[in-house]
Amino acid sequence: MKRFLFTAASCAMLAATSVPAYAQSIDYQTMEELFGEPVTTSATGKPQRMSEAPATMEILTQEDIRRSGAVNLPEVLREVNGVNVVQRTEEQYDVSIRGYNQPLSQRLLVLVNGRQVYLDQYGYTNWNSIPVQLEEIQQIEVVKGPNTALFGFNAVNGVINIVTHNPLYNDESSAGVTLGTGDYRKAHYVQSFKVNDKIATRVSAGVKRSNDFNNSDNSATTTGLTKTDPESESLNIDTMFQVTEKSQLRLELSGNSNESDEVYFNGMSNADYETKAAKLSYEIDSDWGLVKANLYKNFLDWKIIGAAGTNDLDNEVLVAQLENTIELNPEHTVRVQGEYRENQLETSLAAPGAEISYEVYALGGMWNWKINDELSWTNAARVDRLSLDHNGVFTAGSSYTASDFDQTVTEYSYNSGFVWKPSERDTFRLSTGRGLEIPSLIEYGLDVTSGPVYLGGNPRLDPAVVTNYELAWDRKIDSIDGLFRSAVFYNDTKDVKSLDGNATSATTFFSSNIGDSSSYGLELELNGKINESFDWGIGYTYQEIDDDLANGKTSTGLTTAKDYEESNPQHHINLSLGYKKDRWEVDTLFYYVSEADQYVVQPGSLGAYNFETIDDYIGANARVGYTFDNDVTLAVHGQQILSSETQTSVSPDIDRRVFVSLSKKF
Amino acid sequence: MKKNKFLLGAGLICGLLFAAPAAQADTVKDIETIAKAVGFMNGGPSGAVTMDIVFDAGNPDSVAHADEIASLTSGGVGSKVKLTGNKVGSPGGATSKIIFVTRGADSLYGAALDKATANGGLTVSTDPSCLGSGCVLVVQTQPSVDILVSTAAASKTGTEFASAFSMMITKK
Repeated sequence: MKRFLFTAASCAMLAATSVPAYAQSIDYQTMEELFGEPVTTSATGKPQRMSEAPATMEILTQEDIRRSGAVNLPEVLREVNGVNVVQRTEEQYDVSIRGYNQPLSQRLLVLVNGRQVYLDQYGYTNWNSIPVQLEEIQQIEVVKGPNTALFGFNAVNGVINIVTHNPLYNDESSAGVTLGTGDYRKAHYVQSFKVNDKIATRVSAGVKRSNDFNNSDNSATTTGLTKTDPESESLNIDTMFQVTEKSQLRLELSGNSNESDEVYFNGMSNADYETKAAKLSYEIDSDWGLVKANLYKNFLDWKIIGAAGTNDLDNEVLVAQLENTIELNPEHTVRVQGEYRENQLETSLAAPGAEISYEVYALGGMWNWKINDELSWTNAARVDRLSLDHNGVFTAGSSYTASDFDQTVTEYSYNSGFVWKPSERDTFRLSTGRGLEIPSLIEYGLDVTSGPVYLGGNPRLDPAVVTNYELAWDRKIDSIDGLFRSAVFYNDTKDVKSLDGNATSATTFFSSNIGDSSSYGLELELNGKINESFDWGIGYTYQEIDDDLANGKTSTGLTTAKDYEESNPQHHINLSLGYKKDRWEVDTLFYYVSEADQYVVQPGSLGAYNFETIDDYIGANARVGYTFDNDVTLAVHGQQILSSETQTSVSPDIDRRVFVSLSKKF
Repeated sequence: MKKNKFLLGAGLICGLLFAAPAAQADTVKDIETIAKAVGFMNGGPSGAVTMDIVFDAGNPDSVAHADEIASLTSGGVGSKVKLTGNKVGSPGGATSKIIFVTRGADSLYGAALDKATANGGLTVSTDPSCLGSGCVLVVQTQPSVDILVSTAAASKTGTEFASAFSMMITKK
């Protein structure tokens, strides 16, 4: 009897814990192993093999991330052709896709598992605030070109979606320590728990300390600044529940605290960020399609200490999304999506107690038509309706009232692309897209006096609209076991915004739209393998930008802090070499960036920016790693290793950094 | 006699000239791809799964293919779904949910599909000519991975796949 009961109980337990291998959320690892290439939803919202996506995109895998030797996300992204990475301080990076890189670049949308991590107060990404460890990333998807129709505002030059391991499908854990020059110290810990086949969680944490660059060069940007040695801590908890055989629930909680020096258009400041986020996602493979619902809230506390004093800011963003992707038949897949967004800001950069906010309602759809075995056509469209609001008083310097903020903006965006595969080796993509860069809450509602200077926002700012046209060709080359990639593109931006675009006097500035800009470019890339051990890649991008901006530009400087055509390097070259055999991995990335003229604020004045020539430079990142028994890895790696100091922007020179890392997987 | 010899010689030459090209040998990757695809079946099997191999005993090519698949899968191939081949010959002897149909077994297509339906499973192969009339799912891994599903055959056997996977395969 006891044996029977024990057996019955065991069977019941086994039945409860063994679940058919359904995958509502994508099991990226299994899909990549299955199809021999990464898979993504970041191009159209529909699960696709990367080679079939109608957008030019790159996917970096966990192996790419590890072998890059990078200690942060921007350095990982540096190897992607067409991605421009500028390091301004030890921790501050500006990343853009296809040029248009500026301090606090607003043209790139960055997501973690579909949750925006760019900061809504000004629409830029503080990469140090992203609360994931490199070791827990499954893949990083880089989509080039506007994609507002799928992702919403600010996906104008591209989207970077960071996909972390799904704890139900990947139970990897690891711990590691990194020490480096400049008193660099970093530790990470990632622990995965699988309670059973239905519940799994992963907890990750990271701590980082270092010295900031201590160079006296380019001190104009550091005038009056007490430099801060950067530090950061982050925590991430990611839990998956297999609710039914066909549905999953995911809960993500995260927090990050970091401080460092940052360069803004008016000089350098110490910046202190505290970010928190909570996200709930539910996916079900239903008879009506693949239904996903997301609900998340981001919290930001931001404090900056600059030459003009201390300012702080609280920002909260609430986003609710619902989408359904359904395969009507083998030829047609459609997706409908709806989104609600609420963005609120309270700041000392506005009147005490004032709150600036907006609500957005969005509706969109996607249609993918597989015309035949060679040709497919994807169309996406979206309408966003933004309603602006201001509660509270205005400062004495403001000329606005609450009714000025009763503004509604309705804009549409679209993407359309053909993918033609005339052979097993060739893929052609012809695409166009319209993306939107809406004004940030600061650009709408800035209202602050600092000494004699008044800075005001503009509730009537128009969104910047980016339209892109692109033709791309990829070809597999068997003789080198590699791939040739090429793309030509043209895009134009209407209604470029600037925080100080409208100077009504020598000491009074308002945000405004200041004109248009257009750009054309070429991307070429070739990569290959030599036997199973060696791999290589070379990439070249050329881009020409033509501005038509009311920025007071002369041969020596500007009166408005916005310029693209002079500050954008025309040529970028990447060369990567990799060797992997048995326990050894050796990888190097060389990169060349051509000369550009960047603008820098004149100490003690606003509305006057001088050009400074940044000479062309060559940099290199490298890593040598050896894995011992029991998955212990020792690595020596570095960034900017060719020179002890390199000037890459108007900020102080960037130091060479060399690191030693010890890590273990378990 | 001379005429018979001539005809025999002509037949041999024609056979050499127009012989079907030697089929590319299957690899473990082909079976792994089948195993992973089975893992995305709604209500499909998991863990250690026997894959019955159906072949035409009167066709040497079919017999050779069956031996090849049995050899590749003798120790089990796959992880979440681990396939071990079992040569059964005619479809009537197949009891597993997964039935592999070899090259040159076109005379058995209909029966194999019927048996898979009765077993609550599906027919699979690496031979594209099987798709539809005999097979629900065919995989090819050279030059790149392609997973083909016949919607008609899938409808007959009642086979459905997880939506995310279904959106990434080729349906005919």
